Amino acid sequence: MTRRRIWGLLAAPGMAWLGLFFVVAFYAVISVGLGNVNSLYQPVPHWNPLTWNVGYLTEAIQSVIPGGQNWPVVVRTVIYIAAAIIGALLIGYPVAYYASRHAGRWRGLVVVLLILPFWISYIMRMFAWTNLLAPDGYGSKILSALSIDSLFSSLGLLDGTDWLGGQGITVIIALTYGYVPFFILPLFASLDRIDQRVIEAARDLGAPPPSSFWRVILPMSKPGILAGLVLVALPMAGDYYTQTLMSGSPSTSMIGNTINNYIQGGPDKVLGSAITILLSAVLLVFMLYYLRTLRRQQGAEAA
Amino acid sequence: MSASTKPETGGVLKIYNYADYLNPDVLKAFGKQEGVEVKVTTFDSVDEAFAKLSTAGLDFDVIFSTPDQLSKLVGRKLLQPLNAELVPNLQKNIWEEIHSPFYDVESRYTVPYVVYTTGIGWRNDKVDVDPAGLETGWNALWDATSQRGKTQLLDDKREALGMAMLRDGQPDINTGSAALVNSALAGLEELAANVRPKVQISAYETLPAGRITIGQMWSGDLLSGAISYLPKGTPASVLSYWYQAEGGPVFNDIMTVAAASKKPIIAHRFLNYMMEPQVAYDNFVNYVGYQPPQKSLNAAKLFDEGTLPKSLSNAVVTQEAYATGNGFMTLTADGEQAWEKAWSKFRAG
Amino acid sequence: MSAAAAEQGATAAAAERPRFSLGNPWSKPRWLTGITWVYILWSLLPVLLAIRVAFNEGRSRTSIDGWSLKWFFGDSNFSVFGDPTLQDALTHSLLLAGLAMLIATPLGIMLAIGLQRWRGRGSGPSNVVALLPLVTPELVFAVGLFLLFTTLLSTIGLGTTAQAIGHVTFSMSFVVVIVRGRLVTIGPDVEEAAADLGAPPLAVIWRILLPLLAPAIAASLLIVFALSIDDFVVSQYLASGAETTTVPMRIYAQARGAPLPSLNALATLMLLFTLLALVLAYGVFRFMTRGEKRGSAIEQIASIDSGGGR
Repeated sequence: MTRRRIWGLLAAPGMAWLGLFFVVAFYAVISVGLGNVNSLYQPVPHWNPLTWNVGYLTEAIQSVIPGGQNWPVVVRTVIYIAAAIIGALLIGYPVAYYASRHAGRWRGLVVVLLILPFWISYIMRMFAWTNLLAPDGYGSKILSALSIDSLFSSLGLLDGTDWLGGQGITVIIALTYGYVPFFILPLFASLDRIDQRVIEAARDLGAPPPSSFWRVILPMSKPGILAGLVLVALPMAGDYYTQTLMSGSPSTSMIGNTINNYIQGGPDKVLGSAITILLSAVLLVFMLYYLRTLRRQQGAEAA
Repeated sequence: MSASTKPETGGVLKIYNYADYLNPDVLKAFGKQEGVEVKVTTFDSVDEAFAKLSTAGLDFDVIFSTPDQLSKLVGRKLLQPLNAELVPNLQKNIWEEIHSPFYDVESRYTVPYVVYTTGIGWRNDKVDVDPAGLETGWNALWDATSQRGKTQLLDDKREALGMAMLRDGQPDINTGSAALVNSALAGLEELAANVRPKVQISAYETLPAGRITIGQMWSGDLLSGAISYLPKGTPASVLSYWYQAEGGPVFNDIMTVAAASKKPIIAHRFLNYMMEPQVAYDNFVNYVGYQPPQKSLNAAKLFDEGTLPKSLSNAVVTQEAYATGNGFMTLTADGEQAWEKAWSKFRAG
Repeated sequence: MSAAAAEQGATAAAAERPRFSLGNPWSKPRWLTGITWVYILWSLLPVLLAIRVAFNEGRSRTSIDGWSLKWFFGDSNFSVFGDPTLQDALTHSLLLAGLAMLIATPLGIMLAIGLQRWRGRGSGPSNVVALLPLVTPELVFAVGLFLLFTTLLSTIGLGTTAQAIGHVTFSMSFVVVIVRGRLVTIGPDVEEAAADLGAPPLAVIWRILLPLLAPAIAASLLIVFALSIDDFVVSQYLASGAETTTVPMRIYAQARGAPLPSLNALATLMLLFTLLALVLAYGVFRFMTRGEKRGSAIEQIASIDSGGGR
């Protein structure tokens, strides 16, 4: 056995596994989405690309463009994700910045506490909020005592006082809460890599702190921020459980709910698959962008 | 007993049903009696159940469903014909009306489980409504704008759209007409704009807990809530129920034996067991709150004795009401598509 | 530059500069401290409260209501140990996590070593495919596997096997990232030296590389365990029935109603298992990397999970 070939052989079982259960699995989505249905409206996948039927894909496209039946869901999904990642940025950046540069002797503890949410199931963290935000829960009571609910109501963000009663704002806050740990940690790592000497140099050259932040630290952490935002936006695009747990009302449905309803809840698997194809096509750009930064980062570490 | 009807021994009897829809004590007793372990897998809607059953090749023994699903289930060869000799309790204990129901003549595939009406349930300590005093009672739900977000719509396309049809005075809740289905959709969209309902079926828990205050629900949900889910200190009298007495949905759920069952005899015995008067009573009064169509069951007596709260006496179904009631029946394939399209449009908000 | 060095740098810098009031532009901004601790409270308090409710005496899940263990052991029908379906969910979650660890870790290690050194044709796309599951929304992935197991691979069908395969597939990429990170740290020198001395490739891997990779392997086992036990979407899509219900599925199904504190008790037990695994892996990790000049083990573990938003 030549030394070169062994590396390929080592990779073979894992690649075969991913080939079957990742690549072929996605091909199954395409075959069903570009397939047809039988007389009982059951999906008939078309495995041969030459027989692909674009009818359902066309229907899916028509449903997600302005005027289509799923257009409101698409708009809502984009708004929710945008709001949630802005929330993640506003909360996450100061926290990651503090943990990486200013935590001092608390640093170990702060990092441990920032990691902890990772190890708690997402569903359990959402479940905890359903208890807090119930009308008789502590969360609702505190929010009401601080008049936050009336503040949100007057801003038009909350309709009534029931946080779990189909409120978009609750879903957005829950998404932020759920995914912000996944934003903080990579950002922490990338801020941590910024050489302290660069900042000291800026200081020694007479830059006042605000400008050294805006002109040195922020630009240097920009790749980390963008990668982190992409990293949390991607799973939000496929999230249906947050919406169901925190609202359950069609008025807050996201695209993940639509796909889930089609695939698991009812008979329209073909249309569900076609929408999944569209979603994946849109997200692929972001996925590849993230993988590129991940590889660059590893390259930088190796160097 | 002939050799072919000798019960299988040991192993697991797999049941597919809604959640919280069988008394665990009753299941334990059956398991003990037959020497099997009973496991229940749950679904949220009969559509979800059919979607799973028809694609996934799941191996259940007993499947609970609704009559409108029957021809689809039979069409996909998911059920096996019943051996009437193994379910003698059907003739012995069940209302005559369901011995050979219109949806399953001669009971070839099904026996009835429980009967219910669909109506509006509410917390009379939190909402002041009186559907019975309205010309169209369903409007009580459309008008409950003060309860936005604390309302429920059944997660069942037939029930939800059917309710909107009844509200419009359109009595044919089995129509396949796309125009009628779309006007029902418009009704639901108006409902969503008015009261922003949660689409779910858990009113039996959420109404007693106060998470919802008014909603479309099944009659059994009220009794179930009163029996098992009221918080300490909340009397059952806070729960109220209304249903459309003339032309409103009155129906029953069904029990069937799966074609894939590896324990068909035990499965039959389970169906028969659930139709034993004492078992059906225990299941109803001590847990599920949905009433079995048992000849021996005297609902009026249960309310008089205080076993069930008197304020909910309209949540049981009389034999007469069942005989004359409206029900959801199988749609044509195209009708099914029309309903499904409208329903997914509604759920897209 | 390593985390430890950064830390030293930061402390040194802190020692140099005198602490002044808020007016000093170089002092630590207090509002940052405030935000961070408020965030930490916000992120953890809800979960702590949910755990506290598991120990309630009464039925309420929204308020603290006495102390008891009845939702764990006491109640004959509704406690975790009284309700066989809750126990089944816990054992099934642990079973899947165990299977995923046993399969995904070796596959991922081999894949990582192979990809790190393999420079032939096809290595580029392979690299992308190996990492793509990290960033694929779980729903897309779950829909794919669901359709695969109900069409082409209907002989496998849905159920425990399908769920285990799903968990292995998405967690393998995390193993690849962790192990490759370690391979980069180790560098090629040691094994090149061994190879130059005539050691056959397999011996190099087995006797040199694997011992050096031990900390990464410990970390991989941990992360696969945690990813699997916390997973919801793939488990739900590939479940076949009651016996394939996991703890997160159970929580999801009941959280929309008005569940009893026994559900909190179940969630608490699951969390306990994860934290036990974490402590165990941390111990192993520290032991394996003793004497190495790297950032604290905690931060190492921190950095390994930053690969994906599950």
